[in-house]
Order: sequence, then C-alpha cells, then structure tokens
Amino acid sequence: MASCPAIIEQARSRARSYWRADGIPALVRGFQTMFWATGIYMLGHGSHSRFWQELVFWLAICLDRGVVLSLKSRITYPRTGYVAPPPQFHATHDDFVLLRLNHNDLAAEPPSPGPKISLVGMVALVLAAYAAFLALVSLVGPRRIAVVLGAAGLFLTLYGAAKLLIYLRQNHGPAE
Amino acid sequence: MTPALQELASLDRTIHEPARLMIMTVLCAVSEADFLYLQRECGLTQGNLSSHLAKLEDAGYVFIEKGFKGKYPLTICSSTSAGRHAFREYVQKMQAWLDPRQEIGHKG
Repeated sequence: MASCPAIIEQARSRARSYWRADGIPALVRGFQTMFWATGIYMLGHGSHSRFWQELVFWLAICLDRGVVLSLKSRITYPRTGYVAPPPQFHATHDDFVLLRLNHNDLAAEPPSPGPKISLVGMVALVLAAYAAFLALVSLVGPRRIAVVLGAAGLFLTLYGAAKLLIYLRQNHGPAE
Repeated sequence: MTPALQELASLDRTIHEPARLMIMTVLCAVSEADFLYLQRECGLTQGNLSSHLAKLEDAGYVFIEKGFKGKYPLTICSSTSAGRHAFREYVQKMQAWLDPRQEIGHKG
C-alpha cells in the first residue's frame, strides 16, 4: 500500500489533470493565441482599420480564465463534478501543508505564507516580456511571428476540440 | 498490553474508517470539491458518501455548503483547519507506527 502522502499527491495530481481533462482550457488558449496572431498580422500588414485591430486584441485579452470557468460550469461540472481549479499565481496555505506531508516532515511548526509575486515583480515581468516581444518582431518580422503563433493556436484549438469531443462522448448528460 | 499497542487505540476513529479516510485524503489534497467529484473519486454511492460526509461534518472536519446551480443540487465540500490538523496527526501516527526503524530503536 502506498503511504498517505503519496496518496495525497496522487489525489492532487488527479485534481490538476481534471482541469485539463475536458480540453476546454486548451481550446480557449488556442483561440486566444489565434486572436493574438491575427492582431499581430494586422499590425504588420497595416491595411486594416484601427477598430478591427483593437477588437481582435480585446478578444484575445478577454479570453481568459473566466471564460474557461464559465464554460466548465456549463459543460464539465454538471457531468463529472467540480473541484477547485489549481491556483494561478501563488501557493495557498494547503500547498504548504501538502509540501510538508510530501517530505515526511510533519512537524508542528506553523506554515509559512505562500511565495506571492509582488505587483512590482509582475509589472517588471510584463515589461520584460513586451521588450522581448518587440525585439523579436524587429528581428524576424511581425508576419512570420503571426504565422508561427497562428499555427500554434490552431494546433491547440484542434487538440482542445478533440479532447472535448472525447470527453463529451464519454460523459453524456449532466448527472442528476 | 504494551504502551505502544495501547497507543493504537488513540487513533482518530472518525478518520480511520476507510471511506472517510478516502474523503479526507481527497479534501486535504484540494481546496474544495463538490459531491459528484467526491463520489467519482472515492467510488462511493450517494447514500454512503452522504452519511460519511455528515459524520465528518459533525466532527468539524469538513465544511459543507449546500445550494442549487440551476435545477441541479450543488454540494461543495472543503476540509476545515481542524480536519486538516486531525488528518495530519493521523498520518503522523500511522507513519510512526509503521516505520520499521522505530521498532529497531525500541529494541536497542
């Protein structure tokens, strides 16, 4: 028999893989990537109106975790149940409890707070990513980047759609 | 009866029951889960899960929030800090008792 911490880790990884099991996160991320690619292509082409460019970028920004959760609450949770999604940016108190369980160190010292990313760190990260992106655009050209991003987005979308179809085939209707 | 054997009787019986141990394991691994997810993970029937959850709730180990999402009933369960503490203590005791090195230590 596996020890309890191993079982907890298994339950935890099952909860994590459950987040991706229906293919919805991949589908949404795929659409998001394709919108980014379209926006970059429009930016590089320069012949499209500003309205359409802004619309595409806004669509890319709006397709976030909220959309995934809203789709999951309609498709996944009524069929196979709800489990809290994995944390996004910072580890929770429970993560540290489990971390200690995993290392067989169940001493009674109080749990330390999670390593939260500060606002300054986030801004620096975004700025660095933006600078790297601009450097890449000037080096390779926006159209090539758009094509590569678009292909990656299309692949993700197809992968997510296939996973969703398989999931829906395996789990027909919502459980009463 | 040796004191070590007597200590076995001090195990938390609320958690020690296999079905409740499964429920606590899942709930300690996630921050919250609904009834359907727990049922699928633990492989218990609705009635069985419901009665075990009620016992865990009575012991103050889980927090249950009942509601409706459209026409479907929605029961969200999460482990309380007392529940996590009791579970951790249970795991600690079991690990200590099952650890062969500790037995060698006693003999020595």
